[in-house]
Amino acid sequence: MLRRCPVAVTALASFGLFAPYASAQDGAPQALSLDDLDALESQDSTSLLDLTAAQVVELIPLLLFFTLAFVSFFKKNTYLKYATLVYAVVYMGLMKANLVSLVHVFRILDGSFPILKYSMPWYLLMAVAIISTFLWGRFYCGRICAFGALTQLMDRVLPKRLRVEIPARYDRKAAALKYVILTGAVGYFLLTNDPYIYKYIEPFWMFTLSGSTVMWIMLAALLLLTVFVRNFYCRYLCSVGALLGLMSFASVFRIKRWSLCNSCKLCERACEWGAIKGPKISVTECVRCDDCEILYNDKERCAHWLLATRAERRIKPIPAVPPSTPIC
Amino acid sequence: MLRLHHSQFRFVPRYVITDQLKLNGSAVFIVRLLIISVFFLPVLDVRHAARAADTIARSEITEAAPGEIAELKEMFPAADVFGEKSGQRPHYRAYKVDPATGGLVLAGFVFRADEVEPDEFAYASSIEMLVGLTVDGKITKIKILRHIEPFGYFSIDPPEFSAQFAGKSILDSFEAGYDVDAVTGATITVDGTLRVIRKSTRAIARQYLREQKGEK
Repeated sequence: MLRRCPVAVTALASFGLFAPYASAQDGAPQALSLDDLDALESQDSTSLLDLTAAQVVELIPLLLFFTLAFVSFFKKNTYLKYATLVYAVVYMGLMKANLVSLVHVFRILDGSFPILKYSMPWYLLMAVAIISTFLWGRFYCGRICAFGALTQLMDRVLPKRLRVEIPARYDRKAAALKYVILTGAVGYFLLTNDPYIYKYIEPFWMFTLSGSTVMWIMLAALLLLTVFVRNFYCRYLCSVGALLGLMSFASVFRIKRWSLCNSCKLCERACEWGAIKGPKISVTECVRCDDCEILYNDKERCAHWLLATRAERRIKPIPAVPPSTPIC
Repeated sequence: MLRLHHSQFRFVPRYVITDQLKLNGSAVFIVRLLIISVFFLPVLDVRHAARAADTIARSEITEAAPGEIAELKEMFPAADVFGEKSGQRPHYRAYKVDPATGGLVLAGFVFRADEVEPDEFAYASSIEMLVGLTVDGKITKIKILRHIEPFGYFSIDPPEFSAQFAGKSILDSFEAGYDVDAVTGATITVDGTLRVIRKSTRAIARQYLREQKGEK
């Protein structure tokens, strides 16, 4: 048989050469090889360059946002401020739920932090929040916090006649409430080590769109209240704001005042945060919304400027008569 | 086969051997068959060596404690026998009983991801979880045991998150938004969890493959 079928024999012989490979492919113990894993080593790389490259998609919009916030602040520009607030609600809030929360305060107390090289956007947010507070006070509350941005936008959109003004003395007492809440929450955490209390104390979880029915009902009540009493949560209930307010005592750049501010009440009435009390601006309440600063620089409205330029405005120069005009 | 005269060539083609030995008929057939079967010997070698390396007797392993078996079986239902927790990267070995020989064949591993990668950290905690891995590099199941991630309740705790990993290959990239579905708003927690699964499964797989290479 073999003598008569040389082709068949050659074919059989050549099959033998390939047999070891064929058997390894079907039903072999391992389909995985070290080469497969080694090829993926770049993904498991822990070099700073590779990790930064992987997080660039998160870092770039965040840096853009901070740039916008700072530019709007330094330029004292209202349009840019509202652009920042919208960016804050949409990107920092709904898309990323990137806010400073009580949970972070707990983590700092605990001393446990996420790994820096894997969580760069988080560290960037924390750095900006802390540094800006030591420089300008509650700047975070006024520009960066997505919830603060939400209440400020609601402010702008809702009709003014719905607004209920809290009298000054109640306002001051109510403002102290957030310190009580902060102390209570921190005390509770130190005793029980349970961070989950944050769900009932702050509304920032709303941006993750995940919560129990009880949480959503509490949130609805808060938002309804905010329609009538503007910036209700930020002024009276926010524990993060309370903490940043306390840190603001050490802040460097304060809003300067004129001597006329002792008696003028223009800015005090314009401030929606109850931060101005006569000549003094309270650093724990002021969120650097720039309403008073814009008034301040407005030479047509600020009493100080009106008085200062009064002398110039009284002596008006008489326009010269052109020679061609007949005097009769 | 071609009949070439020996005077035309210097070397002796192998079929001439049968002529020189003066074999005839069926003897020639058998000799030629034997010569050809030389090509097939490597096949037997591979199969034989593989079985010898992987089949071990039940007496050779120390089995896991009876209290742990239920959980191990839940993680790796296809396995029959589990070895005790061992190794520098602590893990349980899962074996299938080979019906032919009665010996055990290694099917995979079950381990705690946070024990294999103790330096890994998500947002507020190391995620304690059990992972089942086959020798083919596929995850059987993951089970998150304990963590104190504040944003875990909506991101990694829901069963839809863990269910994605059943049958997943460890060669995938384990990135949220690409091969893994995850909610936004808890990025650090989710990324930390994916990282620990990816690193621990690959570490165990590498260790196993290097062992295999070392044996051969």
